[in-house]
Amino acid sequence: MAVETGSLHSLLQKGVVWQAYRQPSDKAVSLSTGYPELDQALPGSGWQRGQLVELLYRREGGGELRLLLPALAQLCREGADEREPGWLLWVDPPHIPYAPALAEAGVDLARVLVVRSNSRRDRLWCLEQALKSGCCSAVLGWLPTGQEKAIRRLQVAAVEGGAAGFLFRPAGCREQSSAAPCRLLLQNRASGAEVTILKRRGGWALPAMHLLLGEERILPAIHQERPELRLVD
Amino acid sequence: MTASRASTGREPLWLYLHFPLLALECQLNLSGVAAPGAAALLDDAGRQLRLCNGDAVRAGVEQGMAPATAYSICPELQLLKPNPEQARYQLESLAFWAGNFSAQISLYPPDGLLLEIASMLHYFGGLESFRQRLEQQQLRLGYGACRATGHTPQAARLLARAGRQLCLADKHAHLQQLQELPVNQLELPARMAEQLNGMGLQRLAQLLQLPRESLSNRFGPHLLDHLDRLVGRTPDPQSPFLPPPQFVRLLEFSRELESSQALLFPLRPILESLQGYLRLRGLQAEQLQLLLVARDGEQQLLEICHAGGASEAGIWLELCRLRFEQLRLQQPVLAMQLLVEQFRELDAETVDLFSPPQGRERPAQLLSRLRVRLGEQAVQPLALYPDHRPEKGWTTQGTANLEVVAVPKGRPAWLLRQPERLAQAQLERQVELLKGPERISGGWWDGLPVRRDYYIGRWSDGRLGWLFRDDCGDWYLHGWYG
Amino acid sequence: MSYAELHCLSNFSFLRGASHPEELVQRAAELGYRALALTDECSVAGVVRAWQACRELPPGHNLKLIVGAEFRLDDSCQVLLAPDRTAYGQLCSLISKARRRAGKGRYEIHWSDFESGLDGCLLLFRPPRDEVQAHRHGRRLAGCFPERCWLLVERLLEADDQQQFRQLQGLARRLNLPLVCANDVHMHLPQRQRLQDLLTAIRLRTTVQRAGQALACNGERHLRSLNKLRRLYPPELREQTLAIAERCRFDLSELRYEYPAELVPPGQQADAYLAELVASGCRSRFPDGVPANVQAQIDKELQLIRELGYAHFFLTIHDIVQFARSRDILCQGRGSAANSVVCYCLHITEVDPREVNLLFERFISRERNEPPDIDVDFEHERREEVIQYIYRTYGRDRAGLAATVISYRAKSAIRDVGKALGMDESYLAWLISRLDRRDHGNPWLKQLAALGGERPAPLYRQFVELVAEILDFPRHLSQHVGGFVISAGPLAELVPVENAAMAERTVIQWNKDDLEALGLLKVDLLALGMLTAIRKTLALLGETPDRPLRIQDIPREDKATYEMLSRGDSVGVFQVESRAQMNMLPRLKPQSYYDLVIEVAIVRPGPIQGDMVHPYLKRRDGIEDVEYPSEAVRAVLARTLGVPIFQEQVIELAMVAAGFSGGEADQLRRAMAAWKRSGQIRKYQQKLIDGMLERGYDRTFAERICRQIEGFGEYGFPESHAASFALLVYVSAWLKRHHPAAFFCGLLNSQPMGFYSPSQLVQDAQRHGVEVLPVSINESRWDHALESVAQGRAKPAATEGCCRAGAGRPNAARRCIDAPGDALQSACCGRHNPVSALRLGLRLVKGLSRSAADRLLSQRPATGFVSLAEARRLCRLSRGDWDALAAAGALNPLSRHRYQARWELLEQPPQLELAGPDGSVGSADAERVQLAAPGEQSDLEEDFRHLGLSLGRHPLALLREQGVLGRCLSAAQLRACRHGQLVHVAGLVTNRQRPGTASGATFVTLEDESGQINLVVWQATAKAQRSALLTSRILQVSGVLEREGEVIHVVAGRLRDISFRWDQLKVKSRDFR
Repeated sequence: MAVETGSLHSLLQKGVVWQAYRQPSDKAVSLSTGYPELDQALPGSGWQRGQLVELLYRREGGGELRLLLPALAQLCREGADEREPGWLLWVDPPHIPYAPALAEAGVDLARVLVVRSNSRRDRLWCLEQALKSGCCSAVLGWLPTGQEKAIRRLQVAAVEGGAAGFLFRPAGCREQSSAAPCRLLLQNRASGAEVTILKRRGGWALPAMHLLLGEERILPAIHQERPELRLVD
Repeated sequence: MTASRASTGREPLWLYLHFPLLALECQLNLSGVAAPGAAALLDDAGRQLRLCNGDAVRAGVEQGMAPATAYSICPELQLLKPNPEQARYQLESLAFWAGNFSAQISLYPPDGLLLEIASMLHYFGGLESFRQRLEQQQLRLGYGACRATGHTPQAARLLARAGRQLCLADKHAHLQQLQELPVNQLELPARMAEQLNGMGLQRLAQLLQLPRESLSNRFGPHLLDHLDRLVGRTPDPQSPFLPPPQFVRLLEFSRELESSQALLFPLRPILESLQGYLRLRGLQAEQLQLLLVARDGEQQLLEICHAGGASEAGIWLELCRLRFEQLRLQQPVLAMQLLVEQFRELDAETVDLFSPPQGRERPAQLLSRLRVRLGEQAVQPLALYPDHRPEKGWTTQGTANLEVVAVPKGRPAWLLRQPERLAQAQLERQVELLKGPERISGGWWDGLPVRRDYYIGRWSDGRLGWLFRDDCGDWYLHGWYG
Repeated sequence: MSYAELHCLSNFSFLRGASHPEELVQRAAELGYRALALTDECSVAGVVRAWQACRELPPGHNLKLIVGAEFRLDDSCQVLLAPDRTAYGQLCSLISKARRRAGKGRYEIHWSDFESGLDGCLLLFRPPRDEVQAHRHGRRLAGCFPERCWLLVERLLEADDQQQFRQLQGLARRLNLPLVCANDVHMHLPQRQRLQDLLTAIRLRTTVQRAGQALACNGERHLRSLNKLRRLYPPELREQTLAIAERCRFDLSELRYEYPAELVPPGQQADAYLAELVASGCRSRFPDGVPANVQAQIDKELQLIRELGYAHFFLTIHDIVQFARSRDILCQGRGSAANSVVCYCLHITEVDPREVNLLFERFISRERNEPPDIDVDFEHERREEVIQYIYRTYGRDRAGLAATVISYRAKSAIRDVGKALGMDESYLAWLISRLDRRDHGNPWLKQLAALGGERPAPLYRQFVELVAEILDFPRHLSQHVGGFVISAGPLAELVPVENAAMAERTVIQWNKDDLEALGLLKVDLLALGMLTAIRKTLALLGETPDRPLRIQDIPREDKATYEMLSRGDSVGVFQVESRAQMNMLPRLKPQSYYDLVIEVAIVRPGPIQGDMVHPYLKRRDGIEDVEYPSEAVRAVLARTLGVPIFQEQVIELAMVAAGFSGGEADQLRRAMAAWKRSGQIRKYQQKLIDGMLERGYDRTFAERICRQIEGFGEYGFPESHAASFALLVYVSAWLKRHHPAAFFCGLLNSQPMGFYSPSQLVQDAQRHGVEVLPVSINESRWDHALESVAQGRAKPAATEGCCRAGAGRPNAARRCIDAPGDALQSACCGRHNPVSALRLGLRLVKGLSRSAADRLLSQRPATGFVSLAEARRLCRLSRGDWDALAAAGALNPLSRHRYQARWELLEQPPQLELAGPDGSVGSADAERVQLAAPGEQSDLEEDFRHLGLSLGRHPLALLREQGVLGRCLSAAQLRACRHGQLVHVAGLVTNRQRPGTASGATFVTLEDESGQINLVVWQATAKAQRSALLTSRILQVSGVLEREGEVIHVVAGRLRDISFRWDQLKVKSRDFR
C-alpha cells in the first residue's frame, strides 16, 4: 500500500490548487528565425509553432544552436509580460547549455529547464508530455537515427500543445523518412555554415544558403589581428 | 473525555508549565542525539549567549557571555542560532500534548503554557495523582519544565517562572508563596520594578502593605490592577488555545534510521501530542498519513487507518507497529511527518494527481509531473552565477542568490562537462586560433584555482571551439560555439 | 627601449591597491622603467612615501616619480598628471574640491570639474564603454586639454580587449588625439592578486566567495615586464609614455613651505621682529638683568634661527601661545626647540634655562637638516578655543590638521581578512582572544598559525598568509591629534584637504612623517588634562578669582615636595602616578628638578628594555663606578652617569663615537622610530659598531650601546620632552604637597583624565587629611568646591583656600613649606584660616544634565530648600534629573535617604495646589508612609553606581567586619611585614595591566580600606587561574611579600574570586531585616 507520492504531498503542503484552464493568447503562428534569408525560404516566414522542426547536423560546434538562439530569444520577449510564460525545455542535450551564452543571446534563463532522462523511453515520454502539455514555448530534443514512429507521435503532440518543437539529429538521417513537416541540414564551411532546407510545407526544395550564424559578433577581429600564442606570464 | 468548564462552586486552580530552555532544547531535540553535551543559544544579534543548557552551565558558561569568552571556557560548546519559528512550533506541540491534562489551555509564548486544572482533578482522582501522571509523561517529553499551581492564572505563572515547583490546592498557601516573590519577578514593566527596588520595596509583601491610594497615585491604576489579578481580587479571563483544523507534525532526525522499528521510538511522543490534540478538539482520528523521507528526497507514504476512529496514543502506536512489521524500508529514513486530516465527523476530500491531464496544464504542474517520473534531480533550472571561472559561471540552483552584474561576453553555447585535453599535434594540424588570449585566474579561495588563457579556434571542418592553455602549457577544449 | 607606467594605484587607494608605494617604486626600478606615476584615486596620500623610496633606491637604479591622481566618473577614468609645480597645485585643488563635497573617505567629481583650473595638468582619458558618450566627453576634454590629452589604452587580457582597442583607435582618429598605453596597475607583482581580491571583498563588505564579478577576472593589473609590454602594445604607444614622462618635471622637493606673512609688522624683517620680541620677553623674565651667559646663549640661538630661516616658525608658535595666555589658557611647550632661552623668553615654555642646562644645539643643529619641533600642550578642556583661533586667524583654506594613517594591525587584520574569507565572527573573536601579543619569544602571527592545528585547512593557511600580507596596509585617513599646518597661500595648493569625521574639521592628505620627510613645518597643539587641573587648582589658590596664583610664583626646588615624591606618594601627580613610576620614585629618590627629568624618561619601555635602569640606579647609589671610554663620550653621557637615557644621547653618541654624519644620525633616529616595521635599524647597527671600533672603542662597549639602542626602539624618550614634563611633575607635586584640598578639587574638576578614578582620588585625598563632603542639593555647586568647615554651611570658599595669604607671594608660601612633616597641612592652615573641606559637586551625579543643574542652582534659596516639595515646585526639572539626584543621594538632606526621596518624587502633585503657610505643598502622604532606610551595603552600591565613588566605609571594611576575609591583612598592615613572608590579602580589583616590558607578568592592583596592594601574577600562575584573574571584582590572594625599601609587592600564588561574598552579604542582611 506504499505509494510514492512525494510530489503529491509537497504540492498539497504548498497549497497548490488546480487552476482553471487558460486559453493561450492568440499569438502569431509563425516565429521569425532571426535570419531574414532563412525566413524568406520558410513557409509563413519563419518556424511554425505546433510543428516539429528537424535539424540535421554532423557534430556539435557547427552553429546548430546559433541557428535557433534568435528564435528562442524571440519567444522570451513575447512571453515577458505573461504571468506564467511557458518553458524552454531541453531534453538530454549532449553538453551543458552554457548559461552565459544563452543569456547573452537574449534567452530568459528563468524559463529554461534542462531534463536528463534515464532511458530512451523516458526521453520520448518526456518530449511527448512537454510538447502536448501546452505549457512549453519550445521543446528541444536530441534523437538518434531511426525513431520513425516516435517522431510521428511527437508531431501529433506538438500540434496538440502548440509548442515549437526542435529535434537535433545526425546528418545520417537525411535519407530516412520523417513525419516532421520541416527538415534542415546544416553543413560547416570555412566561415559560417550552409543551410539546406530538405523539406518544407507548400514548397519545393531550395538551393543551400550560406549563413554566418553570428560569427561576425564572436570574431570581430577575424581578419585584422592574430593572437600571440606565445604570450607567457 | 469532554471539556467541562470550571463550575462556580469549585475553587479555581491553575497550573503553569514554564519551559525555560525551550528555544534551545527544541533545536537540540531535533538533532536526536541523546546527550548533546554543552550547548547554548545565541541572542538574535549573535553577540551574547541567551540560554545555556545544564552541561554548559556546569562547564562554567553563563547566560549573557560573549561567544568568544564562552568558547575560551568551554571549547566544545555547541552554539546555536535562535529559530523562533521552531520554538513556536514546539510550544504548539506541547500545547497539543497538554490537551491530555486539561481542556482549557492558554499559550504564553515563547515558553509557557497555562492549564486550567480545577475541573480536571475529579477526572484524575485528585491533585496528587494528577501530579504523578503529569510527572510521568513529562519525563518523556524531552523538555525541562518548571511547573507551579496557582489560585489565579498569574499566580501560577509567576510562581512557575520563579522556579518554585509547587503543587498546592489551597488559596492561602499560594498567597503565602506569592508574598515572598521578589518585585522584579512580578512581571511588572521593567521601569516600574526598578523604581520599586529603588525604594527598598523588594518583595510583594511590602507592596501589599502600602496604602492602595499611595501606590495608585505614584504608579497609576495599572499596578493595582496587576496586583489584584495576581492575588485574585479581580477576575483574569484567559484566551484559550484553539487547535488548528489538521494535525501536522514534522520530525527530522540527525542520523538516518535504518529499521522501521526504530521509528516507533520517536513516533511515541508525537502520538501523545495527537492524543492531546484530539481531546482538545473532541474528535477521533480515522486515518494517519505517515510520510517517510530518505536522504535523497525519496519519499514513502504510509496510510494507517482505524475504521471506527481512535484517539488513544497506545492504540495508534500498536497499529503503527503492525504496519511497520510489514514494511521494508527501501532507504534509511531522515525525516518523518505525521498528517492527520480525517476525523470522525468530517468527509474526506482527496485529489488524484494521476488522472490524465485535460487541456493545458500550468507550468508548475508539468514540472512536478516530470520530477515524479524522472526524479527530483533530473529536471533542473539554469541560472548565471557570478564567478569568473567558466565552469562556475552557471548553476542549477534556480535563481542564484548572488547578483550577476554583467553577463560575460562571447561565450560558447555548449560547455563541455570536463575540459578535453588536446594534443599539441592535433592542435597544430587541425585548429586555427582566431581570437585571444583572454586570461582568467582566480578561485584561490575554494581549492579550485584556475589560471588559463582562453582562445577561440576554428577546426579544420569549420566548427568553432573554445579552448584554453593552462599554466603548465597544456591545451584543453572547453566548449563549442554550437 | 624603456617604458613609463603612467597609471598606477598604491594601497593608498584604500582597499583597492594591493601594494605599498615603496614596493611599486622598487619593482618599477627593478624592471627598468624610466618613470612611474603614482595616481591614487583622488589622492596623493602615498606620494611622499613613493618619493622617499625613489631617493633610497640603490645606485644604478634611476626612476622618476610622477605625481598624479585618477578620478572615476561613470565608467570612465581620468588620470591627471602634474608636470610642474603649478599643475601640482591645480591637481591638489581639484582633489580638495572633490573631497570636500563628500563625506569622510569619499569624493564627488563632475565632468565640469575638468573644464577649468587644470591648464597645467596632463590628462589620460579612458572613455566610457558607450561610444556616443565616449565621443561626446572625449571631444569636450580634448578641447579643455589641448596638446595635453591622450586616450588611454589598457590591455588587461580581458574578453574584449581587442574590440576596445579598435574602438579607441577609431575614436583617436576622429578626435585627432594621440593614444598612450598604461596598465591600470594595482599591485607590484601578480602574486598580489589574492590580496587584491580580498581587499575588494573587504571594501564591498562581502566575502571573496560571494564577491563574484566584483573581483578582477585575472591578476594582470601589475607592473609588467618590458618584454611583455613589447608584445602587448605597439611601439608608438610605448614611446608615447616616455614622451609624457619627459614632460613631467615636477619633484616634491620643490615644495617649500611659506609661512604666514601677517605675523610680521609691515616694513619689518622676521628675524628682527623675533629678536625684538625676545628682547622684550627677556626683560620680563629677567627683571634683575640678563645674566651674561644667558645673553650669549640668546644671541647664539637667534643666530642659528636666522641662518636656518626658522624665524617665522617661532613667530607662529609665539602668536598661538600669546592668544592662549590672553585667554588664561594654560599651555606649555615641549619638543626639540622648545627648551631654548628664546622660547623661555617668548613664554612658550616655563622651563627656566638657568635651572637646566639644556643646550639648544642639542636639539637643533646645522648639520642635521631637520625642522625644529615644538609641541604645545594646552588645557584639555580649552584646546578647541585655540584651534578655532587658528582657523579664525588664518582661514580654513590656510590651516589644516595633519592626517594619521590608520593601518591594519593584528586585530583589525584578523577580523577583516577572516570576515572576507567567510569565517564566523565569533570564531575570529575567539582567535583574537587567544593571542598573546606581548610574548616576544613567540610572535603572534606564529601563534595564529598554530591555532589552526597541526594540519590547518588550506583556507586557514591562506587566512594566516593574508593576515601577514595585509599588516600595515593603510585603511583610512584619520585626523592627527593636533598637528597643524598653516600656509602662506591656499593650503589646498600645497596638499589636498579633505573632510574629517568630526564636523567642521578638515585634514590634509599627509601625515606627520610625510611632512617631516618633505621638511614642512607643523605645529603640534595637544591637549593635556593636567594643565586643566593645575589651572583650576591655581585659580582656587589665587587671591581673587581674577588673580590666580601663577606657575612662576611656585617656589622651586622645595624639599618637602621632593620628600613626598621620594616616598612614592604621587597619586594624582602628573606623569609619575602610574604604578611603575610609583615604584621607581623611592628608588631614585629625586632631589632636584633634573632628577625628575630623568624619572620621567627612565620609566619607559625603551630604557627598561635597553637595560639601562639598573646600571643607572647602581651608579647613582655609588655601588658601581662611572667610567667613560673617552672625553667625547663623557660630554654626552655625564649628565646621566654614563648610561644613555634620552633619545638625543643616542643620536649624539652615533655622531661622536661612531662618526655618523648629521644626516645619517637623523636617519638613525627615524629608523629607531620605525624599527619594528622596517627592521632597518640593523643596517645602522653594523655601521655603529664598525664606527666605534674604528675610533678605538672596545667591542663590549660598542655592543652594549647597540643593544641599548635596539631596546630603545620606538620608545625612546627625548630629553626635551622630559624637561617640559618634569616641570609639570614638580608643579603638580608641589600643589599636592602643600594644598591637597585645592589640588584634588582641581583634579576632580578636570576629570576624566589621569591614571586614577575619582573614587581613588577621593580616597587618596581623605588619606591626606582632606575632609570630603557629600553631594548635596543644598550645598553642592556644579563643580567640586572648597568649603571652610568652621564657618558652617553653604558658603563655598573658592577664594578662601588654604595658604591664601601666601598665594602670589613666594616668600610667604615658602614659610608654610618650611613647617615639617605631615602635620604641615593643619599646622599651616590652622595659623591662617579654618580648614577647607572638599564639597563634591553636582557634576559627579550620573545622568544629571548641566542645564538642569544650572536651573537648580539659580533657583536655590540662599538658605537652601526646606523640603523636596518646595524644590520640585521651584525648579521644574525633568523626571530623569530628579531621579539622578535621588539616586546620587543628593536629596538626602531633604528626605533622609534615597528610598524616601524616590517615594516622595513619585507623588503626583494634587490638582489644586494646596500651598501651606510656608509656601510648601502639603504632603500628607509622605508623612504617612515612612519607608525603611537602605542598609549600608545598599547605600555603598548606589554610591558607586550613581556617583562612581562613596564616602562611606570601604566595601572591604564591611566584609572584614563580617569576618569573611579570614586572616587577610590590610594594605596598611602589609607595611609591617618582612620580605619573603607568606601573606593573605583581599581587595577590589582596580587595575589589571600587562606591561610590554616585563613579559609574562600581569600587574594587578587591589584596593582595600587602607590603600592599594600591588600584585605581581606570573604567567604560569595566571594561566592556571585565568578565570579568577580576569573576571574577579573582589580578589583574595595568598602569596609571598617582596619588599625593596618602601616598595612592596605581593607575588601571587593562589587567586580566589570572592566576588560572591559581597552578594552573600546582601542576602544575609536582607534576611536579617
